[in-house]
Amino acid sequence: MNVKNKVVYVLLLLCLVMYPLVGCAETSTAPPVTDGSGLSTYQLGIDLFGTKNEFPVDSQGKLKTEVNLSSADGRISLSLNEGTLILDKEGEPLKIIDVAIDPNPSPPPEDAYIVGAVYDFIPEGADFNPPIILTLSYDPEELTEGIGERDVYIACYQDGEWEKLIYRSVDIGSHEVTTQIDHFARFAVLAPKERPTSDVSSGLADRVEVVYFHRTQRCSTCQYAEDGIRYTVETYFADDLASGRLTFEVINVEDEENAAIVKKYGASYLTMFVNTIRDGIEHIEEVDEIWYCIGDNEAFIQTVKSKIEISLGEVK
Amino acid sequence: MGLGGIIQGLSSSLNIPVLSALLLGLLTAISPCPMATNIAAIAYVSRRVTERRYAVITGTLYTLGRMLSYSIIGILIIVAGLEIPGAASFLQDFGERILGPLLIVVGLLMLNIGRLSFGLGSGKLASIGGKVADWGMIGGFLLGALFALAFCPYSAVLFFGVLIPLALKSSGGVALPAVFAIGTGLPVLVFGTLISVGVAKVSTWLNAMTRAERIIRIIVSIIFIGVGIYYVVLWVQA
Repeated sequence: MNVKNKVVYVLLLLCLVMYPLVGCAETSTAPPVTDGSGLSTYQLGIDLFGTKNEFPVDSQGKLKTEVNLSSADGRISLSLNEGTLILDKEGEPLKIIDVAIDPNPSPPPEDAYIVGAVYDFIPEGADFNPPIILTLSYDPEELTEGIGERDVYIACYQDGEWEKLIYRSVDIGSHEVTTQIDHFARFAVLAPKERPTSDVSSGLADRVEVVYFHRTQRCSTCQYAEDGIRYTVETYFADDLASGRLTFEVINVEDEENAAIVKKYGASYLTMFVNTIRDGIEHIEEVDEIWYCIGDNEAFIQTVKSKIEISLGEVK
Repeated sequence: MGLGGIIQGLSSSLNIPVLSALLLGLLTAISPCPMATNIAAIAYVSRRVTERRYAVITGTLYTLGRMLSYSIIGILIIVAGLEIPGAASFLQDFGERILGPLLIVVGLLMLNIGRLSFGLGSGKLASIGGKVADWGMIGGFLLGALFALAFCPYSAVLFFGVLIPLALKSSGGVALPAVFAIGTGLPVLVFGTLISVGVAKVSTWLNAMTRAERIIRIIVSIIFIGVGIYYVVLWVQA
């Protein structure tokens, strides 16, 4: 057997095998975030149930790096954009963020119950601008029968009452619910005692729904698209999300619980839909232009952004 | 601007459905997930170096196999009115679950493990293995037909979400899936032929044609098994 021969084949074939791996790595890069300023820094310590990390913050309280931190057990995740201004109650830059489980949680509102623990984010009153992303996981077994995972939400407890946060996205696959917060208080996952009778669309106010469908098996392209849409929605339409004029949902087409909404949209593969609800009538549009922009962050974000802008313009 | 942007620009500015279909096929072929099946196909196409035209013919048959599968799906949807959601779900399930194990089995058969085994039943296995390995050009066709049916999430979007709607509104749209198939098969044909010619040159130079072919067969089998494992891992992870 000729050794040179072997070497040549192995090299040739290695090149071929390496190609898609490199391709994967390239296409899965998340969209970029904007730059911060260059002032002197100190460290902001974040402690999520023992997962400790420090991040540089400038003297005015602006975060100098992007933060994505989860507790070791995965119950809590925080995600802060670079450039986020973080101040305490007195308007001073924050040094430490901590989370504790509230040992004596306040009773939930009458029409809902608490799923899991109530988390006390310390220091209370800490302020974030722009808002940060909070993700809490829940145990689906704690939900009473008849309540779907899509009905859970995150609520905030302050001034003696629970307030349902409007911005919400539920990932049924990983049993997580995400919201945006602009200050620290007590937060918990809540579920309604009875399933809301009128689901999503019927007779509701004018608004735009952005829905992204995927399958259980994720690929780099699927993840790229989801990250890109989420980034665009949260970066450019935070106000519309907060006011409820825009909603964003990520839905697994293979999950039986989603059968109704999957059927409504006719989804069976990766798809992004923009549903413009005007005068109680839904106008569902499939956004297939994004599939030409995979790997091109700028074009991808621009495509998603302009689609949503057009739809929001129609419901004004 | 990425390749996708260029393709979109060309498609919308020229408005020639046939060209759009071809470019969509190319875009599918080079994306990471379908690329894995294409590597197996390139390996298969380029494995026989002693016959000059083998790679070209096998690569062409591979593309024809893809044309057959895509055309059948296209005809069922466009002419017979098959519902897209049902078809898309079924074919993506097929791609996720069947392809990996199948590639591993074919790879093992090509390795001809029958010959290494121990008496009982080995004759049968060996003969199946031999047959699979000798399918040659017909094997290329079957491979093309099969790989086309195994939809990855991204190829499913481009086929069901972009190509089929385009075909539904174009006159003579029934032909577009076949054109799309040419796009997906072209890289295999080109790279398979180039590699085959390259390897043939090198092994003639080293004076080791027949030995080369034996080694290639082993390497091709290993690539099949490797790609198969890749798909199985993807499926298990989900």
